Amino acid sequence: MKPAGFFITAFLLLCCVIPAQADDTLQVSDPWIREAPPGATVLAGYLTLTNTTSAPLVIEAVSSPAFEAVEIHRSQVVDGVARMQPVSELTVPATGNISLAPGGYHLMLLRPVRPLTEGDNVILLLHRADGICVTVTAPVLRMTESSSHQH
Amino acid sequence: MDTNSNPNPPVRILPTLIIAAVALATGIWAAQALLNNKPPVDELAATRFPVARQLEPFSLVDHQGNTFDNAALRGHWSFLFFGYTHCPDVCPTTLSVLNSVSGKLADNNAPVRFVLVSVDPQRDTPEQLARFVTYFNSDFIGVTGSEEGIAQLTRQLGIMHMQVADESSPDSYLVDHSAGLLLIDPKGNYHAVFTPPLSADAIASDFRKMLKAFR
Ligand SMILES: [Cu+2]
Repeated sequence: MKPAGFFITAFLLLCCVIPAQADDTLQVSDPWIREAPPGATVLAGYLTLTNTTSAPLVIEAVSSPAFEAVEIHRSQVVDGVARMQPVSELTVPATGNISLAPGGYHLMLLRPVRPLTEGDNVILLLHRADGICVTVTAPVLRMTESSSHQH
Repeated sequence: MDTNSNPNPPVRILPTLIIAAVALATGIWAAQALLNNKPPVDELAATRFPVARQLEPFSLVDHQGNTFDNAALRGHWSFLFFGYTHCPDVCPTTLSVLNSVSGKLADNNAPVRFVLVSVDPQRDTPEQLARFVTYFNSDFIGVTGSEEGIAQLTRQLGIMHMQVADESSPDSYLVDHSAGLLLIDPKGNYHAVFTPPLSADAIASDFRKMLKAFR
């Protein structure tokens, strides 16, 4: 890890050390991380965010102690071409929700600190633009039988 | 005489009219049935070429280090998908769908192979591909090669792929690539293409229909 990357990660982790007051304005449901083939250096994470307030909520960044870096990405098929692009932030619409799901928005989880397999749980920190940090525990799930997510 | 034949025409016209009316009604009913209810048996989710397209020579290598060329496509059906192992979202999703197709076609007596062709030969060595494809199904095949070798195949199949810098991590890059699933017939010819969103049920049922029609 490059020093700059380390400091950014350390900073993002630190801001979550200051616990957010009980806050249910942003609800997180169905978080999970797709188990990847052995030796994978990049994984994908998914979840659904629900905003209970009457104003949009913005997620500026995501970090995790289990990965060197986390990016917010969007996959799209445009004119038959599959494209994956970083997005700078996620906006959860007022009293609405946004789903991160296979083939669409996802968390791009880069360089796992140690190999992850089904049964592991990973901490994700969602950094809101208003300074509140949301901690999420996401299980690692193996999904090879079907394209639909099953609990 | 006219007077004798005159009463007859209306009588003879009437059954004709009835037949015509019944035929018309049947026709409308059939057309409605086709449009509203059941699709005709030969309707496919896939796009099948009227004449399967012969492939130009290409030479690549599979995840076990064997040559993968035109000859490797003959004697069995092959599903070809283009992607790369540093792709954690779309490619695993597609390979999971293909694993499900493979399960649905298990009772089929025509041999079918599933092949991931790398559009990132720079990072996808045969060893890297072996770990990746066999995770989804031990029979899946991963194919890579030189940039030129990959281009020999993708260019003639109309497969687009392009490296894109990842602005947020300068030491890595992403690859945009065509998302279609190609079907190669046992003669080694390009037979049909499925476009996303890919559904295992549609792929398996279309494959059965195309297999039946194949000579
Ligand atoms: Cu991504």
